[in-house]
Amino acid sequence: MGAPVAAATALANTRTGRKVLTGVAIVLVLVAALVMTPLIAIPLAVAGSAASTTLASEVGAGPAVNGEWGYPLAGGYSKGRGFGYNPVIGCSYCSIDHQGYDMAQGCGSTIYAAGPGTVLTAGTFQGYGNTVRIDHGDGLITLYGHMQWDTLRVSVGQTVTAGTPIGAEGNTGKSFGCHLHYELRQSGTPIPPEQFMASLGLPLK
Amino acid sequence: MMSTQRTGRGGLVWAILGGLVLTAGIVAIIVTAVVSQATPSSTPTPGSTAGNGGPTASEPAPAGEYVDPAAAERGWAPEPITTDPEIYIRAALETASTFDTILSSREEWLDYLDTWFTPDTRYPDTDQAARMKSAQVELRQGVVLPQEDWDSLAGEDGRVVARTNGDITFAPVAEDPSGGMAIGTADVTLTFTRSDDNGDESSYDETARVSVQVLCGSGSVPTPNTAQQAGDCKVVRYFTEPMEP
Repeated sequence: MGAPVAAATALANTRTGRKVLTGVAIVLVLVAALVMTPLIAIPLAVAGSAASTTLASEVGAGPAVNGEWGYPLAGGYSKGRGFGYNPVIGCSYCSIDHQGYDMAQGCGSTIYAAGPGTVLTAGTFQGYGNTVRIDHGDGLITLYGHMQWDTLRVSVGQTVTAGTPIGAEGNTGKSFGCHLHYELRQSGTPIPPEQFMASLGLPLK
Repeated sequence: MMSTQRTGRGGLVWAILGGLVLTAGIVAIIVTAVVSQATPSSTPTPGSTAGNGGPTASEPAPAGEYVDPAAAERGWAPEPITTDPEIYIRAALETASTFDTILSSREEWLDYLDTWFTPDTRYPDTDQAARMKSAQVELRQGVVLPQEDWDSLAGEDGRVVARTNGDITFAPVAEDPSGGMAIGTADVTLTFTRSDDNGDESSYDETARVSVQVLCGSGSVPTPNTAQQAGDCKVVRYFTEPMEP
């Protein structure tokens, strides 16, 4: 025990010795960092990837907006069932009328308010699962259905504008796979979102 | 000698710089991951059933005679013992969309629905079993709520109770010498009840117009080991779309 300490002390007392010791210390630190990096980085990267799913569309810019209105999703999306007569093949007990427009970007994608208004509903609503409804005035209401539980970012009575994040795409309520059910009602009657959005210069697929 | 010392110092500086960059990288990765994890979890958490939201079929069967009154305890509509086509058609239309995903699996429910069937007596004896089987397959593949609906409901401890409130529209059955067959069509109101992640129930209604063909009279085959008798009403088939005159 004494000999190595004495040798190290003697080495540290010389200029060259100090350089050697410093070099060895740096090399040891670098080697340790090299070995430890994957052990730390990989698990954290995996965790970061999972956690960032919800925030996928927040990284980029918000949805395209034209005037006071915009798309409820930012960027590209897949179209599901459109508005109107849409019988469910193989189910005579299923409703044949689809009152909204289904669009999907992926589970957890951020959903935005399409226009300015006041939040009417923020939570469970009929078969729409976790839902936000926004009153835009003049009898016009938009509905955003099937969002993931615990992702709503607005509350009843809150004022929103186009592009305000309201929740995350999910699969709650009467839904088979993650998607956004985007519905519009004028004085309580469902109206085709395709026509409405097109009239605002925001055509849907 | 001077040149060697400069080279040595240069190497040392680069080594220190490299170490600092590596350390900064690791710190950045850690900070990014920690910030990302701070976001609220987006995973749905199924809740337990609570509250008294929508109707349930898992109550004692109403007064009257039933093939298996205990069916109600499993969330199913019990099969009435009757020779009245209207009473039976209403019950048959309701049972094909009355279930509780907590109390039974979809397969158990469909097996129960199979017990409502009787062979179609318009066909030769040798064909009847195959045709009844075919009608039961049609029930699964073209009539009742599909597996995806069941799974969606089951994910939220859901149940459905069907009710026929309006009139039954009757249509004649072709080539039925017995005269005991009838096709009945009605609007059926389906009351869906689901639980959110807090266990709070909410209900909503949907309406469908559906048809069933029944046999009330000679030739119907009763469910074995029950009070039901030949001649009591049984289901011949459900239709994939309304059958109206």
